[in-house]
This record gives sequence, structure tokens and C-alpha cells, in this order.
Amino acid sequence: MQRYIIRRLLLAIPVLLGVSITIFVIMRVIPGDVALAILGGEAASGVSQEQLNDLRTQLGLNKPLYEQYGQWMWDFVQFNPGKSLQSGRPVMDHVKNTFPVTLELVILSIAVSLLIALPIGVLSAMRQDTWVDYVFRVVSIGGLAMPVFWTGTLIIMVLVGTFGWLPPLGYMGFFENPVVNIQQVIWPSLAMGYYLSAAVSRMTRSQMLEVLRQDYIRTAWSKGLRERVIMYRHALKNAILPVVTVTGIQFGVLIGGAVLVEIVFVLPGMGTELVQAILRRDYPIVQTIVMLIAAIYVLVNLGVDLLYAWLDPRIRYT
Amino acid sequence: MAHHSMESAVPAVVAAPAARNQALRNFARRLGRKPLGVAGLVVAAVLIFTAIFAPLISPYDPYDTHYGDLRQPPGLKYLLGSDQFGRDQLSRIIWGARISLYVGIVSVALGTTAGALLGLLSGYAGGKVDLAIQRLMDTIQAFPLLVLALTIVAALGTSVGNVILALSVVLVPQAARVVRSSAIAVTQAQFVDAARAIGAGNVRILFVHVLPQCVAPYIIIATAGIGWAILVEASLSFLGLGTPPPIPSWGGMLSGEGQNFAQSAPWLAIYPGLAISLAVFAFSLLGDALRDVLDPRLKR
Repeated sequence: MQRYIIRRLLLAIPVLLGVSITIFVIMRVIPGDVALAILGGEAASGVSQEQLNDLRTQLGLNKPLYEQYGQWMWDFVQFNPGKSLQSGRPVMDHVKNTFPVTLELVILSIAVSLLIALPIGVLSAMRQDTWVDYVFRVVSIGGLAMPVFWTGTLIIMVLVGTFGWLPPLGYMGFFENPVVNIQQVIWPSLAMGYYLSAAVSRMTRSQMLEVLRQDYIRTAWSKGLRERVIMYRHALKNAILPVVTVTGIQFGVLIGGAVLVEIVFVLPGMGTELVQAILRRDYPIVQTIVMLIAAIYVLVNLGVDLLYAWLDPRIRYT
Repeated sequence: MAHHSMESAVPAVVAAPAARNQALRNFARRLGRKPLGVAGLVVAAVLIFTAIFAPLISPYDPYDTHYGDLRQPPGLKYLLGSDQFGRDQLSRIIWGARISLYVGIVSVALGTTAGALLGLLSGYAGGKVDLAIQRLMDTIQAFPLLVLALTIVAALGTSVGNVILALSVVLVPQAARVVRSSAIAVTQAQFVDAARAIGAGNVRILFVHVLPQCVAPYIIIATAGIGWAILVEASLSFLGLGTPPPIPSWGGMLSGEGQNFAQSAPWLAIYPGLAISLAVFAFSLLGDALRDVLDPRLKR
């Protein structure tokens, strides 16, 4: 088991390196002069050559590419990846404040999605091909097809239109004011949870169906165990493994969804920060946030792989 | 003798023309038995029809503003209402289909084809080529999909072309992976050895023998990919990083008009989202049905 862990950890390193190089290359591929683009575009005739040169030096664009990359990586590892082009504050400031918001959203969304998806998946499998099954399947495909930002907008419309209630403005951290915070974060989590639950409930259903066909389940029936005991003690435990994997894979979807949902519900998270930075061409922030997101994604995938190997001993020995 | 064993090893797709027509008829019949898939096919066809014939179907020009009729609820004059500039929603949704389907289909075509070619090469050549290509695919897949598309658009600028490029890149790894495993399976089959034995060159083997076996998974991935691409284009446009306004795009309509007027003019927020959901739903159902029909044959 330990060897498996070490092997996977070592494999993650070249992936992370590849990711950082990719981000770096993409950001350097920007057509045209980056400095000119930042200072106002080609139409800005008021930009002097001096200003351009200053900015280029500040961004380190004059140095050879590998040196720029080395500089960025070195800074990044020291948690100081440059300064925002707009505010002049260190990028870490921007990230530090927004990261917890997104983290809370992500955790709540996963919880909501599991709360929705697992019962639906199990019930669907138990009552396969009945109207219960069909209703649940349509509902869960709805989660896949309905864009998460639309679901969010609909939720807000229902909240305001039907109940005349809007989440409090002015974001409060969880530790500042838990009541207000939950009121603000629960609705985007619902939207995202629904979006995520689709894939998880479909996987749960198909896994349960496969497990229910197994011989040991038939033995349990013939022993006279009640349906609920069979389902939860025997079937679900065995079916849960690929569900874990799917949830981990969904993490990528989750991050994308977080960006969208934060905009709809006006949450000051990393997603909002990223989009705003892109719109105002604040490249240091864009670079850092994308790198951070990608690194977290790689690590989460690694974590899911390890969890899966721990849960299912057969995997370790292949 | 050899002829017989070849026929049993080769699914109908590669058999003689008469058998191929029979296979197509079987395929159509099997697909017909899946009502959800047929529903998806019909809706997708309607959408494609709408997109192609947008200028003929749409009641108004989507860019035309009617300043006397701002934010009208759905009614006889504007079937789905009008927005804050007095533009007809229905026309904008019809023309939005054009963008969504154009971006969806082109990016899937580019991405999955590039991915399929890489997968073919990877699976057939094996060895170092395979390893190098797989590393590249892993690097792309290490990013959450939307974030990667965002980054590419952020770097290159907001335009329909760049969105297509970004989506294509993101689609490459999955297509490559699926086609690669088919290619690997085929490369080990007997008839490839037989072809080599009679002196067929690698290119010929690749395209005449290996490629047809990879068609089925490719179709499945491509169809599902269209639904996904439509969703991502809408998401990018929603963020203001996709189709630039005033070009009508479903995602863009949800962000500008939809967000600002959700309370006072709810039809602006409902219908574009409905259109997106319908499109993604249709292609997902179609993809699911195609997979059910094509996959069991592959397993055999």
C-alpha cells in the first residue's frame, strides 16, 4: 500500500510540472504585445514608449522565456506569485480572501449532491423500470442538462418572486456570522449540488443494479433479511466504490460550476476573482488562480485514487 | 477457411457492401426501439433545422430594436417577449441556436477528429510515440475543463473562433483515449497480421482496417460532446468570455438581460435557459441511446 501511495505521489509531480508549463505557455501565447494590451490597447495613443518599457520590465517580459518561467515557479512556491496589475497588491492577498469562500461552497455542494444523489440512485435501482425510476432518471438528467447558472437564476427568481426573500447582501464569512453565512451559501450550494447529483445518481443506480444481481445478494434474500438491511448493509457498501470515483471526477465539474454560481449569487470567491481578472487582463492573478485550481484538481484526483485503493484492496495489487 | 474466420472476427461494419446495408438497417431498427434516443434525435434535428433556416423562420431580425416595445411580456406580437432594447426574444433564440450549434458541432468535429487521429497513432504505433502522446493528453486532462477553456479564451481574446479553438483542445484527450483503446484492441487482431503478411503498408492498414473499428466509440463521444460543447459555450458567453454581444447567444442572453431583469421580465431569464437545457438534453439522450445500441456489439 505504501509503495502504491509513493508511486502515485511521484507520478503527480510531472503532471503538476506539465500543468505549470502549459499555463505559462498559454499565457505567453497572447497575441500582440502584452504590455500594450494591458495599458490600453492599440487605440491608446497616449501610451509612451517609456511606459511600455517600464511595464515590460516589471512583468519581466524582457528576459528569456525559461528565465521567466523559473522566476514564476520560484515565486509561486514561496507563496508570492507577483502583484496584481490593477491594484498593485500582492496576488496572494486576492487569493487569500477568496479561497475560503469557494472552499465552503465546494464542500456544501458536495454534501448536497450526495444527499440528493445517493437516495435517488438507490431508490431508482430498487424500483427499476417503475414510474419511480423514470421520474428520478428524468430529474437527474435535468441536472446534467440544465446549465447551473440557469438553475441558480431560477432559484433566485423563486426566492424573490414567490417568497419575497433575498439572501443578505454583503458576504459574511462562516466564522463571522454563521447564520447569515449559511443563508447566503445554501442556495448556490443547492444549485450546484443538483448539477453534480446527476452523474453521481446515475452511477449509483447502475452500480446498485450490478451489485443486486450478485449471488451474495440472492443469499441475503434467501436468508430472509429485510429489504432495507440488504440494500444498505450489503448492496450499497459494495456499490459505493465507483461512486466515490465519480464524485472525485466531478470535482473538476464542480470547480467550473463554482465559477458560474459565484457570479450568479454574487459570492466573492475565487471564481469571481478569476473572471474579473480575465476581463481586466490582470494576468498575474489569472495565472496564479488557474495554477492553484489545477494543482488542487490534480491532488484531489490523486486523493480519490488513493481512497479507492484503500477501500478496494484489489486495486493495490494490479 | 481464412475467409470464414475473418468474417466471424470482423463486425458487420467492415464486411462486404450488401452486408453493410443490412448492418445499417439493423442499426436503425435497434435505435428505433429506444424511444428516448429517438426523441433526442428528433429534437436535435429540429434544432439543426432551426439553426440552418434561421433567417427564414425568425419573425424579426434579432438585432432590430423596437424602442416602443421595451420588455414586453410574451404575447401575440412578440411570441416570447421582448428584451430591454425591444429586440424579439424568439428571433434571438432562433438565431442563438445557430451560434450554439455552430460552435458545438465545429468544435466537436475539430476536437474529436484531432483526438481520434492522435488516438489512432497512439494505439497503433505504441511504444515511445504512445507514451509521449499520453503524457500530453494527461497534461490537458489535468485541468478542470471549464477552467482550461477559460484560460485559453483569456489568453487569445473573446471571439467565436477562439471559443471553438478552446473547446476543441479540451475535447481532444477523451476522444484520443477512447479511440486509442479501440485501436489497441484491433491492432492485436489476426486480420491485421494477415494484412501485413500480404505486404500492406502501415498507412493502408491504419485507414482501411483499424479505423473502421474505432468509428462506433467515436460517434458516441462526438454526440455527447456536442451537448457538452453547447453547455460550455453558453457558460463562457454567460461570463462574458464567449460569443461577443450583440451576436445573439443563449448564454449571453441569460447573463445580460436574464440577470438584470429576472424579476421584472422573467421571460428573459427563462426561455434562453430552456433552450440550452433542451439542446443539451437532446444530444445527451441521443448519445446515451447510441451507446446502448453500439456498445453491446463492440463487447461481443
